[in-house]
Amino acid sequence: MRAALKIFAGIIAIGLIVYGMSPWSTEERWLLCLWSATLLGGFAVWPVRRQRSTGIYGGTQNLAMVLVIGFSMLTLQLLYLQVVKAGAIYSRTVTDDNGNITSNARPVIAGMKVKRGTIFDSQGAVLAENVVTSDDFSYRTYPIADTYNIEAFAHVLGFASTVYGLAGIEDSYNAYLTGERGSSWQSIQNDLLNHPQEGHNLQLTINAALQQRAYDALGGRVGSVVVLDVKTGAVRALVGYPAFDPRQLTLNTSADNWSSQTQNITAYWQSLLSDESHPLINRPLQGQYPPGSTFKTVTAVGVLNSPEVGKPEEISCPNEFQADPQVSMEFAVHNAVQDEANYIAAAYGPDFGLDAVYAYSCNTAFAQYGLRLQANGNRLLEEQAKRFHVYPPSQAPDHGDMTDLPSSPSLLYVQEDGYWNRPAAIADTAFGQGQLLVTPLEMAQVAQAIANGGDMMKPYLVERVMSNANKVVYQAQPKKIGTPLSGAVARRMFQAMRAVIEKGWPGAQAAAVPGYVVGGKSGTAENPLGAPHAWFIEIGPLDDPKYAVAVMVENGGEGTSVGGALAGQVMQAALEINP
Amino acid sequence: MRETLRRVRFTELQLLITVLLFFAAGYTLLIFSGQRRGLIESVPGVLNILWPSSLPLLLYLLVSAGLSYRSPFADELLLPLVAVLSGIGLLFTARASRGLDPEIYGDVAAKQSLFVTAGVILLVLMVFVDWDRWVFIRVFNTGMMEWLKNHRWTWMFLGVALMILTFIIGVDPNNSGVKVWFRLPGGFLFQPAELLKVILVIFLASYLDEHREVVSGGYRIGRISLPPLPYLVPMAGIWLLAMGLIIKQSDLGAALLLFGIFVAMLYVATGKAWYAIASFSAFGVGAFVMYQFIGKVQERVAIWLNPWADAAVRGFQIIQAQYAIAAGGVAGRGLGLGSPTYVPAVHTDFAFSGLSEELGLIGAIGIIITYILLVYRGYHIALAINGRFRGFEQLLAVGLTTILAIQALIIIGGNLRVIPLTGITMPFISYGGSSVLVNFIIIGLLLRISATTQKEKAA
Repeated sequence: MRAALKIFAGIIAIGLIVYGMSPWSTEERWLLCLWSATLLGGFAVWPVRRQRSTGIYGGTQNLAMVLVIGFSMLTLQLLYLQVVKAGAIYSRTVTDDNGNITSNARPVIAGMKVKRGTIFDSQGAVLAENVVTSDDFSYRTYPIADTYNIEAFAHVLGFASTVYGLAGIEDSYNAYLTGERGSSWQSIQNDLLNHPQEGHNLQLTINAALQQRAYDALGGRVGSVVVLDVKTGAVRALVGYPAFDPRQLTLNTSADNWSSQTQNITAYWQSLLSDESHPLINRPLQGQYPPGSTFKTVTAVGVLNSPEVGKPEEISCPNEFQADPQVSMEFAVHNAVQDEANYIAAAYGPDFGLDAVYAYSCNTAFAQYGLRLQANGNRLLEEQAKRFHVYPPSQAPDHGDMTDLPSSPSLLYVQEDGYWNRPAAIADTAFGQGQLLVTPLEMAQVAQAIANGGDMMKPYLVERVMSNANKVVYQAQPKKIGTPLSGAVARRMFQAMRAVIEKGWPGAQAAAVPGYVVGGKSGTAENPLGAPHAWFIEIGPLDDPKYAVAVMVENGGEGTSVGGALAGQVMQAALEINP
Repeated sequence: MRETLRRVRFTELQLLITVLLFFAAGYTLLIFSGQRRGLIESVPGVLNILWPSSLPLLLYLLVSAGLSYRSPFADELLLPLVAVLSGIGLLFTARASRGLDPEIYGDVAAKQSLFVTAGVILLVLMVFVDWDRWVFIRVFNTGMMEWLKNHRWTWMFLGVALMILTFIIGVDPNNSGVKVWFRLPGGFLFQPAELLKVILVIFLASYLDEHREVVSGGYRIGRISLPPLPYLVPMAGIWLLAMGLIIKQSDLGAALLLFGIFVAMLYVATGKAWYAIASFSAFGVGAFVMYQFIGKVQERVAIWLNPWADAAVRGFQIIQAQYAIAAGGVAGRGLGLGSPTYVPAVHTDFAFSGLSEELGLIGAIGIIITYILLVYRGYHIALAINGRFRGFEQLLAVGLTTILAIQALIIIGGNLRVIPLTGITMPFISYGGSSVLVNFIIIGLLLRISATTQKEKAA
């Protein structure tokens, strides 16, 4: 009877310990489990003596038994703290009611002792590297700042701050940069000998010279520039303005005044946070804007992909177009220029078609195209937008196609309240207004897919990861992520986009690049914040496209002149640096 | 010749040499890890770390040699176990002193070394000087043990006086919130509570031995039968003392320690488990009532149950200790390679957390096992005493050993958050003069008891 009870108690004690250590239990419950298990377990292991030993001898034995049970309990708790929950406790961070943050200082110090890998541009120029100071500490320096403006690279690189953590490539490739991933025998040796860990090196697709030229071309205007390699999807330049200086977020471990440095870092960080232009936002990837007329490219591709429905050559350009007879003329589609049809007819003759309305960016014409594509239960405009990765909100992924850095998806419309079923909404969206929200990267991808003969490539920033012994740990492979248009339609679009610059509104001629045949599309996006956003997408050279460029200037004004000039400068820089 | 060889304590010597080799490895690690950090640049720097720590360890070899000559049959495991523990203490203090501000703490490594050296000398004095022959027989006409046994009321008076004195002239030099130190001439601080434990054990051993033969069933009040008066009175007295400690110092640990020693000895003396259970229940009820009324006790319990709720202020220390323990993992960060000094008071109350970080689960369990072995040897000494007329010495040995065991349990339990944290020292490992000296007195007494017992057996 007693033996059975003991076995029962022992089983319950073991069960309690196993449960307490399992992920289903909590810290508070564990303590209760441990104490109960100790009492039950103590009862279970208590020796049964045939002969009751008496006097000091028996008493001391029992006392020793109690003490050993107590020490066993401590050992179980050690096991719990040092093995079972060690990881969770080690990285636990709490914020109390007064906003004081308590966290383990060890990972931070350990992080400061890791020699982070070097980051190179596509040509091997050193963008960021760690300098080792005393005590195995090392910190980030930016040699590229000697040649170029460091702010041009801020959004791509991000920062590696001991105070504010990681951002940008420093964050998304942290596992490689610290050597945790792709580690080798060398890193195991370093670990055993307590040598500082050395991270792997990154080679980016960015061309530093082009990046700087793009930054200069933006010239301090708030906006974005994206340059994609047409064939592979590699990002050759990715600039957002305003930016920040990652050097001011880095603790120089060679200097003694760590606390005053930390104060400076905190002050700089606070100034970034309170800056109303939001310099920490990576605009080319995270900024969502109405695309304006650049989106006509998507509509045009939709029409050309389904010519029997879209009837590309049967089009007119009235001053006003009423998409929905029940809505008053006040809300009808208007053209940007009065009697635009006359200008078009002057250039193309009275029987103008898609090339002409695309080159002159006729809103009413594209409103008609859009309604044709969506008519009779067809969803051809929506389908085309989705093939270009512009999604209805319910179908949108969490992020854009770029996965090397945080990026936002692009949306065909915002509200799921039947908005998209209205003809007026379709008409507005077809020429790039409505509720459309796209990122500059998305428009660059649209241009890239066309320039690449219809194949949309996944945009990427990291070409390869190399170990310190120059062994390739990771090599990017160009990846096709869709075919939004056929090769024939792409070549047809080359013609239309070339016409924008050469035959359309004279302002767009600013996008031309001497010595090359290029194509593009402007956009002047109305927005509630003030002056329209100036957009321009450009591809070239058209005989064998190499680059796709998308630029946008927030509240910059006319897409043709402002956007075209900026895109032209960037395209020229790209073709000069790598013709 | 053969007789002389038989007297050499080979087991002890062999174990001590092993311990020395162990610490040679430890200090080598410490010096190399320090060199990597640019803290020790020169040969004098290396010597600076080495001499204070190696001196007391070398003394153990001399003690062993002396024991071979004077009392060859005294327990051979006690000294190596003490060497391991005090060596870990020295090693860890030397390691922690790197991260401690010498402006505030002084040179803790050198001071701890001084304490241990003084402790070993005290041990030598206790074991090698034939106090019985030179002092006690001449002056008091009895042996030392008899003398200790016969003056129980003196001990009690001394204990009470020490407590009252603490209340009157106690100082609080490190802002710990309790005035439990005496400032001795020469700038030394002494914690009378450390001595109080030993005095309590001597008194109880004598008192309980005297009243062991009480067989009457005690008093009956209605249907409840109370323990006989000779047990009931000290039970109530110690209970009051424990409650007083909680009220006065809000210190559950000291109260638990004194009460635990008493209950353990009462149980061993009487063999009645229900006395122990009843006493602990009374303690539990008292502590619970105190918990309701004393804010500081509530605070300590709240921090114990959830230190994360007030992580930045009151829970800070225990949370830093949790981080340190968690950082250790199975094999530890390596001696000198962790960051145990992030934990405030890591060289005193939180030595176990710091050791857990650098030595890992393996090292921490090793320390626990060393304590278990030490306790085992202590009880072994007690039980090896033959003859029913030497209950005093038996109870004394059990009581003294139990002091070490309960202290280790309470402070490790507090470090690991099994029980609320209290400021009790970890025997032989925590930095602190009073505690180290008293621990050596305990070992000295145990060795003496063991020496006389074994001599009788050999004779």
